[in-house]
Amino acid sequence: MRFDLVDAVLEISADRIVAVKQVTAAEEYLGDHFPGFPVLPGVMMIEAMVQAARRLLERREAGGRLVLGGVRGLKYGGMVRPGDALRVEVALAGEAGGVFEFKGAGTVVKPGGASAPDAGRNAVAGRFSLRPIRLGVG
Amino acid sequence: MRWMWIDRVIALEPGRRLVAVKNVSLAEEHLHDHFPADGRGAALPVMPASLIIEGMAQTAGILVGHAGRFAEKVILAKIGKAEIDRDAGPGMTLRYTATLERIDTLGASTTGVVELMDHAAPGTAFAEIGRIDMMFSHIDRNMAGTEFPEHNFVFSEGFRTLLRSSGIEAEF
Repeated sequence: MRFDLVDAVLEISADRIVAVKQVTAAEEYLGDHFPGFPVLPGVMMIEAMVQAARRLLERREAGGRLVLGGVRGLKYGGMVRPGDALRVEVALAGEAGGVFEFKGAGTVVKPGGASAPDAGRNAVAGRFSLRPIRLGVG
Repeated sequence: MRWMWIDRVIALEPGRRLVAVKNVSLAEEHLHDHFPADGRGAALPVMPASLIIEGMAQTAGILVGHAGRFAEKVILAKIGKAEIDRDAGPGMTLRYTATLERIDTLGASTTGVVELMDHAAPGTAFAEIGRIDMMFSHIDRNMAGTEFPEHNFVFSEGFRTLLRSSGIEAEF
């Protein structure tokens, strides 16, 4: 697969981004997660928020190769199935020493629209940080 | 990509602790996107930390599932804290140690340590690079009104194969 977890950017400003990750049965890993019950893995929701955050930082020319360094108080809610989308909203909460802190949340978008059952349901919410790459243990 | 984020279970103390390893290889497609050569420099393949968290979720999830004889569907519900201080590249091995802190009918809590070993480094010893604390839900007992398939889709053939090839006897 390609490791692209942002399909569209809906809104972007200096410190906030709204993006969409479409979930489709054509994604191979959904066959393993889970057999007979495909849902977007929770850590892929984190990855979608991380990639959205990177796009936000790119506008400040600070983005690029920053990686996920920490997660705090992250809770999962509704599941996201093929045909649904995950709408992620990520806000920059602070920066210190090259580490960027974010607040992120994801909601379920249903093909039936806002009136469909579970539409707008919270799928994920929590805090995370991006830091520069530090390869290996040396 | 497939969705198996540990390669072998190397130790199991039922109801207490499970240790698993994950080899990082350039044969993994996603590493070529994370990060490719671009205006910032040459390609720099490192394992996404989101997938390191999943490695711990699978390690801890098997520990929780095993403690309940794989009767429950064990789903990641919360990440209290995850800290990953170093990055894993091709030729390195991750080792996950999950410890069961609490388990009841509704779910379980685990703490975990992530270690990294670099085959190219002198001594090739594992060193701690992170800690991940999680909560799991037994979903049939928590998501009221939501119907799930009867079969335990969480612990499927992939995990059976993993446990079998790790020499662990487990009944599903």
